[in-house]
Amino acid sequence: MSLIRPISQTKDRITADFFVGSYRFSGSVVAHRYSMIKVLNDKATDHLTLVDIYISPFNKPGEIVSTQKRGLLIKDKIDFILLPPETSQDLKEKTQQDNQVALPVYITLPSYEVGGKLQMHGSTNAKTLLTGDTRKFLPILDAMARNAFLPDIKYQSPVLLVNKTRIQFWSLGDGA
Amino acid sequence: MAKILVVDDDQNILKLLKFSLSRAGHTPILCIDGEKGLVEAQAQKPDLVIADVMMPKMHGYQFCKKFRSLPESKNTPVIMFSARFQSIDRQTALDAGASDYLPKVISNDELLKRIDELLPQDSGEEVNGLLGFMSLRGGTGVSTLAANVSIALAGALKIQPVLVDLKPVGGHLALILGLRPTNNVSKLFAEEKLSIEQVKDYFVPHNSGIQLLASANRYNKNMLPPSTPQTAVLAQLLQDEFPFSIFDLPPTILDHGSDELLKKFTKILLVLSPDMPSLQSTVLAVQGLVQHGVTRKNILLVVNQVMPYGALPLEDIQKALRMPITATIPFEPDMTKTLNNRTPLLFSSPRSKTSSAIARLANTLRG
Repeated sequence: MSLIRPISQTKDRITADFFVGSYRFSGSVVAHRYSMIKVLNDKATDHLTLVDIYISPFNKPGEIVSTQKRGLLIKDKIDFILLPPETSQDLKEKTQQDNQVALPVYITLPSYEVGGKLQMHGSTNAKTLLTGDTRKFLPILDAMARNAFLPDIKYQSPVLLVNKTRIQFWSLGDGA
Repeated sequence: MAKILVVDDDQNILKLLKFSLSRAGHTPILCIDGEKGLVEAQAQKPDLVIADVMMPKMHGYQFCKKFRSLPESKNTPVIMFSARFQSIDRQTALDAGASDYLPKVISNDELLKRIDELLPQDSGEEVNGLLGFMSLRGGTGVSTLAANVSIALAGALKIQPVLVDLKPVGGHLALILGLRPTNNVSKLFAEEKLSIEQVKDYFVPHNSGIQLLASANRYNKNMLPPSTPQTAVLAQLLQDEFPFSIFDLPPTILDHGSDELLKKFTKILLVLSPDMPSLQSTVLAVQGLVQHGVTRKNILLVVNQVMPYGALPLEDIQKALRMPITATIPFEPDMTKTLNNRTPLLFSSPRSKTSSAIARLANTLRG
């Protein structure tokens, strides 16, 4: 089956939606064949270089208010990232391992709440995951993010990457 | 075949689409940005347009709005194509005037199929006006189908179809569409004399373009069911004012005295699930409709696979009913989820097999 793909996903780029403060940035990261998780967790750089960027305000996330050819995003300021379904499906399959359990997770970020499942070893708890895990961004599976001020605005993805440093509250397990 | 205008800033996509559209017998017209696309649209008058959303200079939504304002482009199908994949993006595209919204990573076959569904059918029999959806057996998905076909018609024809829930109380159309109506058909029928202006006051708008006349969502023992003469007046008012009105008909529509009303419908879609009780009810419904003066030509059979397995073979159904089956809607595993989320299937899973089948059914009804 032949697929029609944008150039952004046939070369070295990964297209995604980046939610930062009051804005949604849709753009491509030049990843040089690395995965998005690798690029994000690379401690050598504190920013992402985006190309072909389409900017929407958080209250009208479908509308494009500005387009930019190239720009930088500070990694620490990103709240969460939505990957396109075909990329996130691959990542979801890689993330799911036999010796791990998927626990329901509920997270609040500035202006957003995120629900989904987190893959983790049975012995890990919420505290060690936040303090001991070296990853900057955690993959949340079967995720839904909802705007806290405009709850009708929601986003769904097989995988959502949430910035640990932006988490205000989180709860793991059914008792969440 | 068709002249198809493709507007995309990605040269790779243009090359790929040129190849696949030409191979399918279409004539592609390629443009690298929205401004050139508008010039070509005026010069070449394409039968269908495919436009990217994320383009510099003029993004896809701006292009679509400007294209729609051109003379003769009002009814030209526009497929928007993007790496943005959320339901809000689809809604923004539909609001900008797109007929459909597809993710940018898509198989060639799927894209060509969608193009075929959206292109006007040359040999199609002209059907418009009043459509009735009914079943004598519950649980066949009549309301879900009526709601989703209405959404498909609204998107494909850029019209605002009226959808009427004739169940006196507890009809599900508002719930399926995620609406919370304060008005309902029973209150409308309590008015002394119906006028089209009054009817419009009772509309509950849905963001697909549908205008819903909802069923009452609270029980009131004094409430009377809609009478046949009142329904006939409503049907006539809607027929005079709107290109398409779709009625979700209760089984009581086959009661005595409904001949004139039933004859107003340009098509009545009998929805059945592929099981013996539903088949038996459908045989009776066909007999009832024919006895009320509806011609067999105006009755369309739609088989809705509401269960994943154990279905009667379609040949057996056709043989028992002595009528062809107009459409078969495949089983949708996510249907319960979409109902619980109050998001119609055509919005939540526009690319599913079921959504495609519903779009094809709408295409046969649009003329």
